Amino acid sequence: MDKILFEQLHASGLISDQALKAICDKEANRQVSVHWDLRILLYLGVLLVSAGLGILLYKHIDTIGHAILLAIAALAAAGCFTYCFLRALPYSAGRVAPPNVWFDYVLLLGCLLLLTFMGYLQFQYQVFGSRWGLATFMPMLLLFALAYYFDHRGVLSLAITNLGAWMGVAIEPMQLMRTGWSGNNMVVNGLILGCTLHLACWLALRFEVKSHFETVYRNFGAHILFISLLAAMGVFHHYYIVWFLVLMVFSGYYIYRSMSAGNFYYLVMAVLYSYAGLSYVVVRFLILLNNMTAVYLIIFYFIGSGLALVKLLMHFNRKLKQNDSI
Amino acid sequence: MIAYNTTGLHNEYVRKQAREALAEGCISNTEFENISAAHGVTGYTPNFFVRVGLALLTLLIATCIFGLMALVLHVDDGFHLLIIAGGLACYGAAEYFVGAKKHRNSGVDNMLIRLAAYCIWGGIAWSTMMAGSGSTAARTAVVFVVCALLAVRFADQILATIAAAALLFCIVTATFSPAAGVWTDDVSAMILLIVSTAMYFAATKAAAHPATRHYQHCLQRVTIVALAGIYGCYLLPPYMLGFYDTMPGIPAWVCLFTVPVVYITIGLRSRSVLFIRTGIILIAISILVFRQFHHVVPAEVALLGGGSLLLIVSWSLIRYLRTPRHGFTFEPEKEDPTEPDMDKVLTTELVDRAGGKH
Repeated sequence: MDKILFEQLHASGLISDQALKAICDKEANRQVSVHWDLRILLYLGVLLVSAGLGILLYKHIDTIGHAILLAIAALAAAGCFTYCFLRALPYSAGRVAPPNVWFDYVLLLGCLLLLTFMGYLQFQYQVFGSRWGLATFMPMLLLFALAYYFDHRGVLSLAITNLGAWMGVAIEPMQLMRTGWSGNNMVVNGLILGCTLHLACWLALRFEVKSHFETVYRNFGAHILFISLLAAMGVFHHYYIVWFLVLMVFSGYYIYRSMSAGNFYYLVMAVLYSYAGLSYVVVRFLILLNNMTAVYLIIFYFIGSGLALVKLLMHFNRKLKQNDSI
Repeated sequence: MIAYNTTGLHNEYVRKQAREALAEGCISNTEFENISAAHGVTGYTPNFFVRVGLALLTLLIATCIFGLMALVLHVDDGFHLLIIAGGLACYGAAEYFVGAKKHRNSGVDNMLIRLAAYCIWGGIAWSTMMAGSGSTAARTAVVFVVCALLAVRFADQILATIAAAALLFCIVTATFSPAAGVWTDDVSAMILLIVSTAMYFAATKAAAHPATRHYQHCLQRVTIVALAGIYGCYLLPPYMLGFYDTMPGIPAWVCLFTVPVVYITIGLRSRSVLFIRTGIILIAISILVFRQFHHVVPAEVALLGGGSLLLIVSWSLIRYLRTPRHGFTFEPEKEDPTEPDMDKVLTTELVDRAGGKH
């Protein structure tokens, strides 16, 4: 805190003698917080150990032996989970605070080791046979259970990612650039996954079971659903208008909800996704002209619509942020 | 000198300080409200997410206008001139939005300022390359001048960082001679060391002056660049010029492993988080450089060893700093009570994925 500034505010009569004294005392005994620095180091440590163990397993398969490597991974994961079960506070449907700082990180390490163990087990011994879906389904169930039991949103994110992998929603940017969308199934799966996550979000709120998980479900669900709807407009191009209308309805819902709840993040997200959809439709129409006029019109469309959207965002911001000056 | 309304900037600074004091429990709610009422907001600074949206839309509009101009004017040979003109137009638009529309970090002004800098220096660099004139040092000097002027005018920390880095790069390219594979050019290293040190002292001295209150974040970035310049005085010249595979000499190794330790020591003694963080990042860079030339242990062992070391060090420090010691504490800083929760939606998610939960 700027002591000189507060002395000036004190001289102007804006703060009391006690307040100035409190500020001076605070500054004299100021402690530098290294909270986030140490947490980041802890997280990096977990990542490095997990990555190192993964590479170790991969490189020494033939020399150490599969059974020993699997045993090491299983023992390490079991050690992490034992610690978590011993230290965790009793389960509650509400929010449960971690018992200490490194609890979250030990749990995260345990989950990453569990994934390594399960993946290796399937790759080497085919414990689930040729049913590869089961190899992602089982860890997913475990991760969901752990996320709920230990109240960990990071593990829940891992579980949702696994759910996406199990449903076949995986996008490889390089492949996307080379061949485009790999097929209709992925779009449909994406739509189902997005709806499922919204349903999970609604259930969490409705039955008040870990209702603070709502943000994670909604964040994943909204992005997956918006992207899938945009992809559906391209993949099912004969009915793109139908998908566009669905996109608009969904965006409208999010804009309405964000305006009522005062949430900027989802508001901007919905506006930008719906703009992408609208631009797709407009460009498709204009391309039909098939001459240079179309190019000019497309450019004019983007300039005009961009300006309009700037105005719209500023209008929404003003409505949400009552203390804005303009 | 600065484009923004200085009263508005001052008021914003006062309100920020008052919010901090309120979070620390030093002032009452009434006092906070009195301070806020006496220091009203005069500029347009929207929410973070709206800012990102506005910046993206500004980029889209600017790109389309540029494309339209290129089509209308049928530019073939003078494309570089069009880029420079586009940069100047962006600068003019930024002045308009800041001056007439009172934008301040609204996303629109930030994007326009950066587009202006990139287009002006890109256009000039293209012109000189097309004309076959101008050295790399001269082009980097242009980057420095353009970015420094715009950073001073708009107090933009990214442009300030680029300007500081461009100055060091300009000196390296002007003085370094890659003679016969010898990459530790002592003269170049010494010049870089002197300039970086001078830059560090100039930035810290300027930061202590009350007149530079609105440039604090810019000066902090310049300080970090200067510290990196001191650390890499032997390493940077060959890396900047693409000599990645030549073995560093003894002075370079000494710098690589002593300077970060010195930074951390200074940081601990002066309780400067900036020095400590810079020192830690530079140690990681030193290890990576060392591994590039000496494969002492396999990657997986290095990862396991490094990760275990990090876990032990951070675990020990967390235990040690539970009770504040030597001016450091593990207690998180007090959160701003006036910030609405919805502003933290994305942040919370990112932290969660990083392993935390709040």
